[in-house]
Amino acid sequence: MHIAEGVLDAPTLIAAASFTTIGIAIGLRQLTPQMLPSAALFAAVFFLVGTIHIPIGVGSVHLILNGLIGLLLGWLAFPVLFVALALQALLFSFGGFTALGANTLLMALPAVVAGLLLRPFLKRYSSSPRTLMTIGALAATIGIVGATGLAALMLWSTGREALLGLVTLLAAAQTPVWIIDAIVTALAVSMLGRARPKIFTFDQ
Amino acid sequence: MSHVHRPDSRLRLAATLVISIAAALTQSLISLGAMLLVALLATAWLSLPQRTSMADIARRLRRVNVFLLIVWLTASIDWRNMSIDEAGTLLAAQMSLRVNVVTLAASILLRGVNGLDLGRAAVGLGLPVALGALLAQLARQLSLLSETKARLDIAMRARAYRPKFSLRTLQVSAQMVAWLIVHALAKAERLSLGLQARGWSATRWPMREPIHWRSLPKRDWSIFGAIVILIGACVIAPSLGVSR
Amino acid sequence: MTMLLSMQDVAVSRSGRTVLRRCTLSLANGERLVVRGGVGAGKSTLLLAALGLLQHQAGRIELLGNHCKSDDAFAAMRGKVGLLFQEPDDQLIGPTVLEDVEFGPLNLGWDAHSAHHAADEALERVGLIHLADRPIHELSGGEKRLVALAGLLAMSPTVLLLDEPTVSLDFEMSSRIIDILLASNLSMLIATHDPICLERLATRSASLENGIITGC
Repeated sequence: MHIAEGVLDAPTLIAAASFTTIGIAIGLRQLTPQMLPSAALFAAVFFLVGTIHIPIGVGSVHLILNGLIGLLLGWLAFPVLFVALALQALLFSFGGFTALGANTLLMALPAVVAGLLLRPFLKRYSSSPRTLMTIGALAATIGIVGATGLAALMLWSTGREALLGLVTLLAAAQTPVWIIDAIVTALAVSMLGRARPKIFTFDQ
Repeated sequence: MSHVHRPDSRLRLAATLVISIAAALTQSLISLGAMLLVALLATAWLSLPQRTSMADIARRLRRVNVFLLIVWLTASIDWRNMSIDEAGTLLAAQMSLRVNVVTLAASILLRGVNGLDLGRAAVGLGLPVALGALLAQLARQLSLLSETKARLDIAMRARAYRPKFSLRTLQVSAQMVAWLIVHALAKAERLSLGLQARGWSATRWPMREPIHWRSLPKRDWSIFGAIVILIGACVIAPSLGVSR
Repeated sequence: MTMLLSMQDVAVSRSGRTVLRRCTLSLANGERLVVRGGVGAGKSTLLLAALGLLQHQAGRIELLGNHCKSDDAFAAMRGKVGLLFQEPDDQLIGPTVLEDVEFGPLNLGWDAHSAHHAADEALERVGLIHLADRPIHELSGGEKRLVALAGLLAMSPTVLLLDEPTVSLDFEMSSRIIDILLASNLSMLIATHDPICLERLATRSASLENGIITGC
């Protein structure tokens, strides 16, 4: 769900960039040089997760999993997603640099919200697979619905009624993405709970 | 760029940003059209000696223009009344020009720039060092991790796995995600130890100081200046036309 | 007699570089063919191409009597023809040992119960049933390789392709793997430069040099 560079108008870009700057600033306060390798690797994981495709009919849907990132990283999701999206912009033109603030915001803010709401439960219920799956599905829902909502908001802010049709189309197209992300996140969180529960306390 | 001389990444990034910002702020279709013309000419001039790089640019352009087609269909036509929506058409036109201008500009200006260069260039332009170091590390780790993932993909296929539209595929994908995370963190631990064994004290950000602005070659500055003037001319062009 | 595996004049390039020039070999039922070759000779490429995991640019590959060219044709053979990779870390995906060994059978469409049963049996054969619920990352290199082998055996293969099965293993673990392979009574194609493998396993041998197989 990248918004191409040149789509959003200047006021929207500036507003989004401002919020992103605040988010990154908060995230950077938690980032120590010692955490650099792990943070970079999480960014790499997010990048590569986007290359996992699920075939649907003639096309395919790729995973996003920003909810999972938020669940594992909290506010660190802002700087981590920022650099991952920046590299994607460089390598594939997924977005571009003026839209980087907007694209980071729509991925990272829902991620952080998912983290703030659900991280406390992760540690407490790390031994109950079914609860972990519910937490994962909720995190993915916040992540995808949040990202779609923010993207819709930004498009509306740029084009008002003229882009309403586009917004509706995009929102509808995200439904399979949401379902797939929710299932995969639920399963992944429950697997992580079994394999390495200390991942749930990564930044401590 | 096809020349032997490769301009400094910092100026390249700055030029890309200047073009993107100018395009974002310009409403006039004439200005945007002029910018697109300049971008196309520049692309042709720089790419013709090197056929291979055209494929990459073509791919990026195709992707954004498919999206723009959808924008045209949804914004310029009022489907309820089956009439043309003027505001939507204007918006779609502006967007089309902008998106193509910045995609082309970024593709040619940033060709050959890797994540490490980008990190350093951005830090040189004011990005916090922590972010630049993170970006550089990401670029480095990504190549390793993606190779490992590619090998895992092959190994899974060797054990008769084929992605389909099924719950099993979702389960395996989740396994893959969990595997990536666990694997990456184990690697991060080993990397930390390895770096510390080489004297990294984990208190500084591993990033070189950027070259001072003054010592950049004059040729780079001239190219940068030329781009700024060209873009400025495109922006002012319509007002020159009107006054005549 | 139908060959279990037959490669005729197969050529494979990777990233523009020709790795295999003209490879011809065949594996009959009951044979254990060792292909010797130094580091970088292309042994891994040979095995990957045999299962269609790398495309071959020329030549003809037949698996279990079936001509294989498209990925679909190869995919139908995977499982009956198993490939043991050199680096188990790249191959093991399950969180626990048992779940990883079940991966193959589940891909073949077996139901959960049969897959579980097959995995248990395979782990018994390699002597690791006591590690069934252990997370993979807690295993030693040798144990991981045995788990990978169990993962192949669980799919009831007819032929095994093995890429350096004893590399990085100490003498005891090497012997153990060779014992298991001998006990399996499977036909196999083994790419290795380990002389012990050659001595104990090979019924026939060939060598891969400059992209060409000689002695087969």
